[in-house]
Amino acid sequence: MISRREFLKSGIKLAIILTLPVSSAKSEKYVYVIDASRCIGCGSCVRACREENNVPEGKYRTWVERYVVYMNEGIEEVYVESPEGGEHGFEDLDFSDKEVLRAYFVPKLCMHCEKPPCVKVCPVNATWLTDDGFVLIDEDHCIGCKYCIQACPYGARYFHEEKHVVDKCTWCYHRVKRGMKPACVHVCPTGARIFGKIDDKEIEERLRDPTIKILKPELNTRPKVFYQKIGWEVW
Amino acid sequence: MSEAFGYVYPNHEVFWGILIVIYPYFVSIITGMVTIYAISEFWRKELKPLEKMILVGTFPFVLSALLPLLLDLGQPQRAFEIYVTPNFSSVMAVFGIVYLTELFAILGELWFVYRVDFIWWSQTERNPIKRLIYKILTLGVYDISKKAIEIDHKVIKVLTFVELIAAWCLSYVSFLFGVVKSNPWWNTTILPVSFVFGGLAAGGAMVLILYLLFSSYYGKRVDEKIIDIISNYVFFFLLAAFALEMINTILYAYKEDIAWAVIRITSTELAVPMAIAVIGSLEALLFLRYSRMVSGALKQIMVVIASISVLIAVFALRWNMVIGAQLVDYSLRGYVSYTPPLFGKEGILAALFVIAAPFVIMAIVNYFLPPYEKEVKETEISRPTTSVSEA
Repeated sequence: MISRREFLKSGIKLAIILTLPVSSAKSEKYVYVIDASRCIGCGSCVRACREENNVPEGKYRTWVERYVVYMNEGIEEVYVESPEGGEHGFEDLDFSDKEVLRAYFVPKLCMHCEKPPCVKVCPVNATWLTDDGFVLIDEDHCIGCKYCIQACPYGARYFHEEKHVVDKCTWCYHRVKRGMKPACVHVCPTGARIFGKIDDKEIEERLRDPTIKILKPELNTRPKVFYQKIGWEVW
Repeated sequence: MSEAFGYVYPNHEVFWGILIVIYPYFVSIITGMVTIYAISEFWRKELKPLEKMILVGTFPFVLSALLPLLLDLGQPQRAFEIYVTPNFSSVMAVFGIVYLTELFAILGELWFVYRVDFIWWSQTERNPIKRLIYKILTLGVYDISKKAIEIDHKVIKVLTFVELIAAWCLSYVSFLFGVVKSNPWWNTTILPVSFVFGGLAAGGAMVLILYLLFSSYYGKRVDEKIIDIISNYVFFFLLAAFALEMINTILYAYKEDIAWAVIRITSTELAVPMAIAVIGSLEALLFLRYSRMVSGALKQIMVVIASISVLIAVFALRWNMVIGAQLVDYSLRGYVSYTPPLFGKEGILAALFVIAAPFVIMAIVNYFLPPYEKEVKETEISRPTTSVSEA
């Protein structure tokens, strides 16, 4: 028979346990923010990525696009280019006869979507979403059906002709797990690429920007690469 | 071999080539042939004489359906992983299961349909190797009593039903493309339905061609009533497929969204297969309709022309579905052109080899499991019949 004192003691203990915060640990989800106004299109990121990840020639884990929006007979026209993925920078463009409204560079890479269509279609579970938000590929398990390439709306995946499997940006998972930044972020001379946990102070501040964008939101893929200072023409 | 026009993502290319065109094409033919088989089993007894022939014709297509997929894989030796670590949210993984269902159903069906023949051939065949093979194929079952044959017929009905469902599910392999929301050409609800009707027409056309071929090979008289019944089915299946494809294109054009802008600029690339599909379909519809009004050799010629046109038109539709859709870049700002290479895994020669595969297998299956007896060969010994009423 339990005494009244013991019953009250147990009740108080239980109440304390229940009211304690479940975990005081910070969120482990990583996100990537791109401040387009800072990108100078130098291509360092593309070159660093190729070197870090042995990306085959002609394929890109990340690339840089140049957007030029100009007026043409009263309508906004958009010119987009990415010569060799912007790896060697960009040549000057002659738009002197046109009224240019805005021009800027936009780095692109795998969006590491929260609802990744590539993961959904992989027939053998060779690509998956980790708990900390990385979409990875097991190259020893991939059968090379290329279905995930078709499913990715961002063109982030490619077929590795030597390994005969699909490959893509991993946000340099091997570096991040050693406490380093992805190679592209590390070499960016202007700080246009920002990477970190979702509750990192700088990331948090940038995500509060009401003009922040994700690409192709209508597809409901929930990308974790966020863009600042880009126009409607980027998708 | 592709060239980019406008802006395309740097990684963009045509990843699925001619082999992946053949894959849904074979699946289409299987769906149509199995459906005609089911119609003969459940509804139109006039088509009963075709049953064995359709099975002998369908089985090689089922066996070959995986060939283009396997050849296309980067790591074909890992293909079995689809069964070991399947991802059930992937249409491709589900396809693997449906495919096995179809394969086992048709294997079972072949055995039950040919069971009495196996017993007969295992005792009368002169070639000792063939006799041994038939002996093995009997699986030690020699019961040809009325009761046993009645059970056979019941099992055949069940297997036909399973086979029909599996074939239709296989045909919904078009979901493989339909679920890719990134691609505007695939992202349409009409696609799976028009795919099924195209498949039904192609399979029906293949049955017509095989019927005429087998009849000629075995010296059998061609039953014009059978031709008329199947032609009628093919006509309506093709009409539905054609109408749905047209509705889809018109809807795209009318809505005029950003995707249509790119599809329109790729029209030079899509025009040839589209023209083949439209002209082939219209011509086939015309010939199928008017073949009913004539008889004899003219009827057969018209039906053959119509059937070949249907097969070519459906191939063109599959080409545009697989290749055409991939020409459009996901940036929706440009496209790539595509010409299949002659040599290599994705080449035209490899594709011809894959297309020839079911016909080579068919010749082998026909050698061991002839659907008819040659009319010229009259055996003195009366052979047992599979008919319940006569048994």
